[in-house]
Amino acid sequence: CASVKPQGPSTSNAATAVTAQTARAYHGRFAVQYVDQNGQQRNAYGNFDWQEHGDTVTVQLRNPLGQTMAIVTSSPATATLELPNRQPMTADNVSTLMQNALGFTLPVEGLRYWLQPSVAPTSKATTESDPQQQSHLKQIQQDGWTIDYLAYADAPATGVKRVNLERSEPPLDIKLVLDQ
Amino acid sequence: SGTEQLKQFVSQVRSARGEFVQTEVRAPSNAQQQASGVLSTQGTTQNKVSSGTFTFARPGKFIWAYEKPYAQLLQADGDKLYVYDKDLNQVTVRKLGGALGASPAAILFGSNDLEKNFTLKDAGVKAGIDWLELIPKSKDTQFQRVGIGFRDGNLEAMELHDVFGNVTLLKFSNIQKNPSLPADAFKFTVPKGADVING
Repeated sequence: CASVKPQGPSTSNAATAVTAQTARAYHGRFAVQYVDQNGQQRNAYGNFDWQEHGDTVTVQLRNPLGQTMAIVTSSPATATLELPNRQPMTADNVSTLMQNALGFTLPVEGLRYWLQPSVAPTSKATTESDPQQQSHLKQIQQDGWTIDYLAYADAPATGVKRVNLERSEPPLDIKLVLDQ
Repeated sequence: SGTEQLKQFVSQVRSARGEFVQTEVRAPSNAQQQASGVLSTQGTTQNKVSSGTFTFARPGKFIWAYEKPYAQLLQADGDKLYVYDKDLNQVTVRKLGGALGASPAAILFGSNDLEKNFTLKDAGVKAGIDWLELIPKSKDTQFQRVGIGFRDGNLEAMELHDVFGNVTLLKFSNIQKNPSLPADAFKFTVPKGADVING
C-alpha cells in the first residue's frame, strides 16, 4: 500500500486535541424578555450554569431556589432539551428546540465565543473596543445579534461580568451577569 | 415525629425571621453523561453556596433575601411576587396566585393546608434532626420531593430534590418565631433606577 509520508502531527489532530481539552464553566443569572407566539411580552429570569467540555456545552437554567427549569445540551451532532417531567427533546439545532419549547432561545453556539469574550469564527462580525481600555471589547455585532459588554470582572479576575445580547428579528433581549 | 412538628410549626408559627445557608449539590444531568459519554466528574460535586436572611408571615407574605455571593431578593406581599436582581438592576413582578402552590416556599410561607398539595411521610431521625418527606401531589412540579428537618420543634433544614436529581440544601439559624413585625414589613418598594418588568 502507498505509504503516506508522515509530516508530524497534522493541524487537524492538534486542533481536535486542543478543543477536547478546553473546558469552560460560567455561572450567573439570566433575564430574558421576549414576545411569545400570541404577541404577549413575556420574561424569564433565573440562575444559569454553563459547562463546556470540548465541543459539548451543557447549560442548566434554574430558578433562584435552585430547582432546574431546563437543561440544554448542544454538541456539533445534536442538541437536547430536558424539561421537568417531560421526555428529553432532540433536534439538530438548539435554537429552534428552545424557541419551540420555551418561547425564547439562548444563542448557545454564539455564546461559546461571546462569553470569552471573542468573536465567533463562523461568520462576519464587527467589533468595537472600549476607548479607555483597548484590551476590553465593548461591542460585537454578529449573526443578527448586538452584544454589549457592560462590565468586566474586577482584577485579579478577568473576564466578562455583565453582558447584554439583543436581537431585533424576532425580538429578543437577554441580560447576563456572570459570577466570578 | 417530623410530621407532628411540621403541623405544629405550620399552625403555631404565624410568622418568623432568621438566616439561611443554601448549598446546591449538582448531580450530572443525564444528557451531559450521554453527550460526552464519560461521566464528567467536574459537574458532580461542584457545590454552590449562597446565604442570606428570610422573614415570613402566613399566608403568602415573605422576604427571601440572598446576600452572598450576590444580591437577589424574592419578596411576596400576599398579592404579588417581586424578584429583584441587583446586578441586573431589574425587578420582575408577577401575581402570587398559584406561583406558591406546590413550591418549597409554600411549605414555610403559604397557607397551612399542606395536605392539599403534598403527601407527608416521616423519614426518621438523622444527626438529632427529625426529618419528614413531602411529595407533591401534582405531577407537574419542578421538584420531586422536599425533606424538612426539625429539632425539638424548631425548623432546622430543608432538602429540595428537583426532578433532575439536583439537591438544594437549606440550613436555617437564629430563627425568631412570631416576632412583632411592622404592618408594612412586606411592602415592596422598587429600588431607585431599577427596571420593573411585569408578567
